[in-house]
Amino acid sequence: MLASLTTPIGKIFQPLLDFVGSVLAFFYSVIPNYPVDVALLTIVIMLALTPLTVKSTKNMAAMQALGPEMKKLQAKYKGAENRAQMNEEMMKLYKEHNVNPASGCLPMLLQMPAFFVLYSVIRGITNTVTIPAHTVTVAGFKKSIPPQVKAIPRYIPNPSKMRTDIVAAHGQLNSFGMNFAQKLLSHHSSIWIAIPYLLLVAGAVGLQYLQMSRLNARNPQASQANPQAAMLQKYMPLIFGFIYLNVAAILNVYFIISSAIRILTQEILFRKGLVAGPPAAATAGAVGGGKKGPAVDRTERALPKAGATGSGSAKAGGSAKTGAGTAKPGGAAKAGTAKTGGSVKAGETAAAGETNGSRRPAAGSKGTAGGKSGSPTKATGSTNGSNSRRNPAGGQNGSAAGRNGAKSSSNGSNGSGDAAADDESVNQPKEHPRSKAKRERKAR
Amino acid sequence: MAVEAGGDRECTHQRGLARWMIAAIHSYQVLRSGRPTGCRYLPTCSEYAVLAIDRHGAVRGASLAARRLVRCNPWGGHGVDPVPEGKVPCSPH
Repeated sequence: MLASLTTPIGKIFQPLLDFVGSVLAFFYSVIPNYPVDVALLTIVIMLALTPLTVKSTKNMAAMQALGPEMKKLQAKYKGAENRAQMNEEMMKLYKEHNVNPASGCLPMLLQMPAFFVLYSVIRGITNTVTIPAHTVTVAGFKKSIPPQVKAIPRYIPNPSKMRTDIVAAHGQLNSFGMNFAQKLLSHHSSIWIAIPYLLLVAGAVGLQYLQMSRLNARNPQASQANPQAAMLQKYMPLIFGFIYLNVAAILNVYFIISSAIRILTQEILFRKGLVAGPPAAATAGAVGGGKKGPAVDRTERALPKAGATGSGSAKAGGSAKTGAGTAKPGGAAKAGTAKTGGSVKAGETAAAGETNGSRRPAAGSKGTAGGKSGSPTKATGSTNGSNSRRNPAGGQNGSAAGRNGAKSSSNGSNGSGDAAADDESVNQPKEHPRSKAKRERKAR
Repeated sequence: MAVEAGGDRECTHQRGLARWMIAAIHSYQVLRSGRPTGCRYLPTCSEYAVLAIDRHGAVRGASLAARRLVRCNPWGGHGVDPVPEGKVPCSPH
């Protein structure tokens, strides 16, 4: 059953595999060096996927900014009978905040075949067949033939320099004085020869670990919330390390390059503020009171994203990035702390605080339309307006709106009056109740 | 849960495969936690898959989950999309 399932899947991928194989062969014809070509191929394919990654990450961040609001809606319209209404409310929420729903799980899933193809092609070039020792009878004489290694590189087009070279070398991928078809666990003639293989494995594991830890460093709240996950994520590279021990060195080259590209994309996304991620913003708020340097740094990074994604309008994001985001990181951080302190005093629940924050983007964008530096109070007004519009029914909603309104205005008076303060509040939604409590303690 | 739903109805459909699949999805969720979700639906695709496999068994549950994954694309819908009711769930969710 499995074979009948895998064969058609293999057939679907065949043209892709062949195509990528011919690209690799082309690289080899230009630069006859296996690891360099594999690195080039990896870079090309991953760069081709990058726009997809960036776009989906942006959408994800935007969705996440609306997370608390969503949760509120969910709690409000519990039960199957309210489903239609809840969907409607969600649509309204999206529209108000100018957010498109994330691109979804399928596009993410569709990236996987690309990696599958890439991996298969790179693994394919190390494919060999060993012809066992046998005897042939030539003119009545028995002649024994020793075992032979015959290289049959997969997916590499037949008349190509790469194929010829690999076959001539009996499957050895010799460059930089080592055979990239060998594994760390292969039989090496001496320990010294095994060292580069070990370095490759260590590099692959190390970079993977770095990627994970960079991600978690931006996101300490998530790892706090789920220590088990953090633990697993920590040890994951080690588990992969066991696999790396027993794969050809050329594959480790691929792992190293792809991890490096991932780290780069990640860093660029963070730096550009496209994906500060809610938790990062929360940390900025949480740490803002205590440590100065890194907190400010993080706030700064967090800001533009919140603007760009929260409000969903590219223009608002841009302005946040240039003006508010970078110009006054210190002010922003300070404003953030002061403000949150105020809101805590007001006795708001975390949920209310979050809601308020995530509603701000709409206000912010509206304010931007009216006049960019717009007075906070004005923004508050529009927030309120949108709020009541969204919740036409129910006394409880009314009160919720009122609460938010009150809070927003307190924000306004507390805020330093510049756009930074306004944007800082945008970050608030993503805050964890625990970090809030922490800040509260500090504020006292 | 099984007891709650009725006396003699027992959780018999969650066999080995289903359990493994759910465990795999759980580990995916754990490893992925901390990153923003890209799902357009509620519950998310992975939560949906766990529920579907739990309620409908490995084969039907997996096909439900696959259909959901296909729906979860930029041109698909979004919002609340619950798992159809099925047998008694084996584990409380």
